[in-house]
Amino acid sequence: MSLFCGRRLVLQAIISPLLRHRFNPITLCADHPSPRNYLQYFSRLILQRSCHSETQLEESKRKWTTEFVDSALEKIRSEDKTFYSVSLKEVMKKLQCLSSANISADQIANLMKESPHFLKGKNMEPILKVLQDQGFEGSGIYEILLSFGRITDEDPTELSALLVFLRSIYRTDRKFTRVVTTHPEVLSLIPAKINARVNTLQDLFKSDDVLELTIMSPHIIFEDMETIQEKFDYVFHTMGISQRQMMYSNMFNYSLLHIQTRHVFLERAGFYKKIKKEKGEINSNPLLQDILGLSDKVFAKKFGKMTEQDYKTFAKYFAQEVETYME
Amino acid sequence: MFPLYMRIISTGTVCTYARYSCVCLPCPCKQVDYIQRRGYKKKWAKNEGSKPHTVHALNHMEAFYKPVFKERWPSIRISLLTTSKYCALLNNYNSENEKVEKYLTDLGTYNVMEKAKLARAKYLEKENQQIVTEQSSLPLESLIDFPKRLPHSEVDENDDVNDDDEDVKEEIQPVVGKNTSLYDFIPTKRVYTDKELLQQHIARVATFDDSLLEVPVKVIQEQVPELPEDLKFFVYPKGDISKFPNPKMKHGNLLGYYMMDAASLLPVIALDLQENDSVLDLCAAPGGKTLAMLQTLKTENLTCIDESWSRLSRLKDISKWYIGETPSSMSVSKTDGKLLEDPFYNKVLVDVPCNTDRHVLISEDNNLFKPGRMEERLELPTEQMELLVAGIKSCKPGGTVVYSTCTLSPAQNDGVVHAAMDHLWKETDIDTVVIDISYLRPIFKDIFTFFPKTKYGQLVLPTLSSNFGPMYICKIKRIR
Repeated sequence: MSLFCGRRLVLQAIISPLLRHRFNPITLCADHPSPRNYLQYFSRLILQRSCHSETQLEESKRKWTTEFVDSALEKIRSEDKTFYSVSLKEVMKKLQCLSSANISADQIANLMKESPHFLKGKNMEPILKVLQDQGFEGSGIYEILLSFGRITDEDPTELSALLVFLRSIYRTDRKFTRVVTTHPEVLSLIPAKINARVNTLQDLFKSDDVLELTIMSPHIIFEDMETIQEKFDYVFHTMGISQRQMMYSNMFNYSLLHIQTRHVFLERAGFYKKIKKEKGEINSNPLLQDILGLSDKVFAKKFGKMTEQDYKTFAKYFAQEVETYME
Repeated sequence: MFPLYMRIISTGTVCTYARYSCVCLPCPCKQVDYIQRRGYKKKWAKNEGSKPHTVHALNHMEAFYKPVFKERWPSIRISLLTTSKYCALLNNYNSENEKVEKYLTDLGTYNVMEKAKLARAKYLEKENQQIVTEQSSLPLESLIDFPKRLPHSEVDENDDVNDDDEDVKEEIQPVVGKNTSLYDFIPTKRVYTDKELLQQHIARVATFDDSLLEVPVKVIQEQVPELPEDLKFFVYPKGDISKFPNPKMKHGNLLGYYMMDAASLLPVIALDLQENDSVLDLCAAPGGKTLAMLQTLKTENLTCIDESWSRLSRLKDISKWYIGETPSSMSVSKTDGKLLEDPFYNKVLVDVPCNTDRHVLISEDNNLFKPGRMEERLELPTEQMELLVAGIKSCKPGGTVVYSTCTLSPAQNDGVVHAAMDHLWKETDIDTVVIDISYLRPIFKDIFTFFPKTKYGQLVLPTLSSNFGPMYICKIKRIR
């Protein structure tokens, strides 16, 4: 039994009596308990408790006046003329949907500014319903729409199947939510492709580590396998670093050039040397997460008391050397 | 059917033999190409593979430079191993040098000397320098106390000591003390192998300890000289790694600019050439600094010498491409600089052969750290000292000598200067002082990084955003 199913049963057992008692006059589906309905009840409960007064709840809806939305839409249309295909009425409806999904007014305004593509999607309501069914609310949906506005173009049935599949892989809510919210582009893939990628990665890492890796660096699922192999080969063979360190370093979040630049910088500055275990050499190299994760300024200062300009100059020289070598 | 015996020949072909009953008949060799194993394979190798010479050089620097430069060493190390930067020295002999100047400026470069002049003016204003008159050796002599030399022992004609007189009886004092007999056995405390002795010698040659030398070297300050008016060189700003296009003859009949390390111009600037100076360029080849001296347009009498014909031919090529022909005011000759003694020159540039730190780290070709050149490398400081001494001897009293190297080695920089002073004090009557040229630091601080802890001269350190050098410059004045 998955954790999610177990939680559903707990919710049914504990909350439903409370909810039936408390929300009976309001809820429509008290007689037909389902996970979606319980989640809706919960969200309304939290919203009610977080609002200092009833009026505050109304204010968040009142913001979406026709004038306001019209002016925002005009601004979007001035930048992208394809938005003329979206009517004001449709936009109002979609914004109401977002409000009912507990996305705050400020977040909606930011979405319209940063990622307005969701307004063009034909399947907004069913997509939101699928996301809510899977336990996403408020800021979770906001994160997804901000990074992947085109999700509203996806097929709801396929999306639902994909989310169920991802849940079956990641099992815990924390991991599942993290993967989807940090890299919602994964929702554009099909389960077979994800499965194939996970199987391929198991040639390089242990099975448990593969899942952990996809949580730390979700775009490893949809990045080109050749690129992943190149990075792995460089870190494993050239740098002599084990998979364990790779796990903690988010190395697949960085480009191969970044990894090479940082490594060669340390090697030439005398801070990095490939260890020969058979000769009993002690590893005094810095950790991969420090090598890759530090900002340029901190990195240059830590390794050699150099300036950020020094590091950036070196990066340019190195890129030139790589280009010359490739030619 | 028939068992085949395969014999692998070193040339990379496989020869097959077919065995018929008990007779071995060689079949025509089937030439099968296979990839011959190259490089070192641990399980088959008899000896451990040899390291490249560049690695030996790097290990040497780690051992001897790192303790000197300490926290600066990582920055220096990475800069030496990364592509160096160049400047473009404007050729004043080109008829269209103004067009070339504009062309270089349009590339995004700037003239370092223009900025340096402004920096010089600011520096003088700040320091409020007192003018020290630079006259002949006589007034300066009176200001400086030179250490007294030990009297030379002279042969006296009236000395009777050497007379063979059998009547003179010498009193023989009895020897008192233990272990005085030659037949007594004194066991050795430690026996050094050849390798250890060699390593000790390398350590002695590579380090500079001024406590071992006897003469104190005087360092004096002089008025900050004017920068050469006509010398112009262009560089890209710090952090900009753009390269200069190769110079072509599209502007005028001669090449418009010469690409070189900007730090190599500092010895020429320190030399402070004036009109009517007679100049000696010891170890002139391949000719970058010689060309820079010619660009100052104050070389009416320039003598260039070098030991190597091939390097001198490069100097002649440079004069051909940039001047048109070897100018009449310049003489080039193949001479061993160590043999010069006569003081004919006002200004002497001694740009000695050295470790060439950049070259030995990057190139395997003719690397100084290859085993065949070990003796040459160990003798370098002695050769450098002899060249510097010859340069000082060739300088007239009141004249100046600039000593320069392109290495970070303290033993070949301050060490050689001190050793030369020591030699001159002990073996000759020549008195010299070191001129403080630390004024170069504030004037060129925007382009070069200087090491603050040199003893006599100035040392340009390579850094990533300004990858010039290394270059050591020391200015010496001959007093008498």
